[in-house]
Amino acid sequence: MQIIELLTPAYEAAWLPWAVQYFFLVGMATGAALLTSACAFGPAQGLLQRLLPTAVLVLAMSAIAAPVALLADLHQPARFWHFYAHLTPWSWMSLGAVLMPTFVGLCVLMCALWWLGKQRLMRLLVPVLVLSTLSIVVYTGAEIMVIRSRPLWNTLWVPINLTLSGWLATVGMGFVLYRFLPRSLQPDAAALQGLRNLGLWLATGLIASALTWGIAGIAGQSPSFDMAVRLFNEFPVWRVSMLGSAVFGAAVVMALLRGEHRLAAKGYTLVLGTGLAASAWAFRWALFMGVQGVPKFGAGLYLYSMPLGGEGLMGMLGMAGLCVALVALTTWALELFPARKPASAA
Amino acid sequence: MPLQKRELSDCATSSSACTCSTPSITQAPQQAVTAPTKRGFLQDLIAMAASLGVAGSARAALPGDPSFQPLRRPGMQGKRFGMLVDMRKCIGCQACTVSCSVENQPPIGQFRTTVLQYEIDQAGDTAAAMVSLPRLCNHCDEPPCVPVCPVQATFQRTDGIVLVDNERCVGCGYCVQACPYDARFINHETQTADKCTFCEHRLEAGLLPACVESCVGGARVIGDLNDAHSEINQRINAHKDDIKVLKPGMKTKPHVFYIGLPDEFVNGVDGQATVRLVAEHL
Repeated sequence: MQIIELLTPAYEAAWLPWAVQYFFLVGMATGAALLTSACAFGPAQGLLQRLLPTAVLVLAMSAIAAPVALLADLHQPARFWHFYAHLTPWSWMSLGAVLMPTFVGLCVLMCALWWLGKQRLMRLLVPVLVLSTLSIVVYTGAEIMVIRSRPLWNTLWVPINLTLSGWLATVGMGFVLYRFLPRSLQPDAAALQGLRNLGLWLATGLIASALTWGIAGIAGQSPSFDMAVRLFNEFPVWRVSMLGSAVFGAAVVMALLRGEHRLAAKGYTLVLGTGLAASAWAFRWALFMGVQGVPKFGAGLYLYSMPLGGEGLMGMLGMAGLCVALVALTTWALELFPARKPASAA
Repeated sequence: MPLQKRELSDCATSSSACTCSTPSITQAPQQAVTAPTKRGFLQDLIAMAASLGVAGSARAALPGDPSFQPLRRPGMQGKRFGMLVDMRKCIGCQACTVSCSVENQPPIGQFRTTVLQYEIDQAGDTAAAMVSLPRLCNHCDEPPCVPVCPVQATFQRTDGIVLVDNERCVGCGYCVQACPYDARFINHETQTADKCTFCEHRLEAGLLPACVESCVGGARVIGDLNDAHSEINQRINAHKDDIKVLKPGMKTKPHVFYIGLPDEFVNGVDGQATVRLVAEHL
């Protein structure tokens, strides 16, 4: 017996590409906040301290740009104040509306303290910032994971993968952005190697989490794995993108491994960093835009044709432009008003 | 049909006993939802207190707990609306689709209800069969769309009807994602969540929903499930063994019941997709 659809409506994606940008930037911001926190405790002139300006730059860019994308994903952005007028403690998104501005505020404060050279205050702020960061990690993951109607989202693997790949994007963006810092603030070869090691650990964690998901799925414990297998078998577009991401992921890991002797080349860190960030971004594109194209009831897939305006391409370019502008402003400001040396660092 | 109409007009005549005289939600959402205003303000205050941990015990559930539902808001007293769709009587004429669109005016290409149509090819020389599957909001008893709403714009009433206050909705699309039935959409004109309301504005006036009123074959029956003598209950009892709901495994307790729903359609369709019309191309 074969069922052929004759007349069924197309259901559009309710979450626009803005969501991809938000989860990409906020994942990166959580990684940068933790990295900044760790670096703040590094010994003076140590490896961690030399990595600190890079971490702060990534943090400033991602933490300020992320909420802009989040706001834009609302179809009624001017009504954002409704979140605060009607607090809803049983909705993760409502909790996020409280947790997110707190996190952004703490991140900006941390960046300002670094610029002012207040190392002691930075260290005092670290516990609060780490707690706030963890709250963002939990809420962004749980928000997606609680959606039972989509088996591909309703799994613990999603928050784990979002977190690890977001932190990998932090490493990648660090490799991309460090070159724009004033020369005295740029990390040296050893600090870059430290960043690479962090990337390797995160990539190992991601591979382990993917394997766990696969093994649990083969053992019949994971509806999300079954759904992924069905998509792989039935739809060439999913087959190509899954195989493509495996190949791309392997290439990025290889590039990380080979980085041991090549990080001195600025071109290499640029390509490696872009590759790391791109894999985190592509995962989110598949997770949000791809999965929204999988019908909840109907057969086949819904085609997503990306609008060219604010709801699609222009929105994404705009976010990229905002990030470029933030980096340009920050690094220019650092040239004009150099960060003060921490008193204790001397 | 006459039986149904009488059943609903009872509601209109005994309006003193129910809340039929309250203003329609679609016309004045804010007032209807929060009336009286003092109560709405208190509800907000409790929600805010709960979020601060003051009234933590009242809302002990962790966000995302599938068994948690916020308090229902006042609806037609003592009633629980449900719909029965007898697929044996549906001829796939789309009169319901059209009348719903005329009544509720969703943008072109977006539907609160529609009839999905399928061809079923069977092995051998058997002629192809047609299946017409009317779809609308299931007004579930455990609606997954309601607790996810971050601003409590979508809510369920005591009579089971799930509504959206589109003056409060921020258009985040979370409810659209949470609905397992694709019953919700972001209305292109209002940029807020939109869905079937069981035509509650008509029910309150003692009328049938537009789709029920216009159904040529009498395939759709709406009624009060709390009334043992209602036509919907009588029909459900008469076909007890053949009553199905969509995706029962989602544990949403849908309140749109089907007679004659083939098993292959209960959890979603595995088959050949059609070329779908995209709204902006219409």
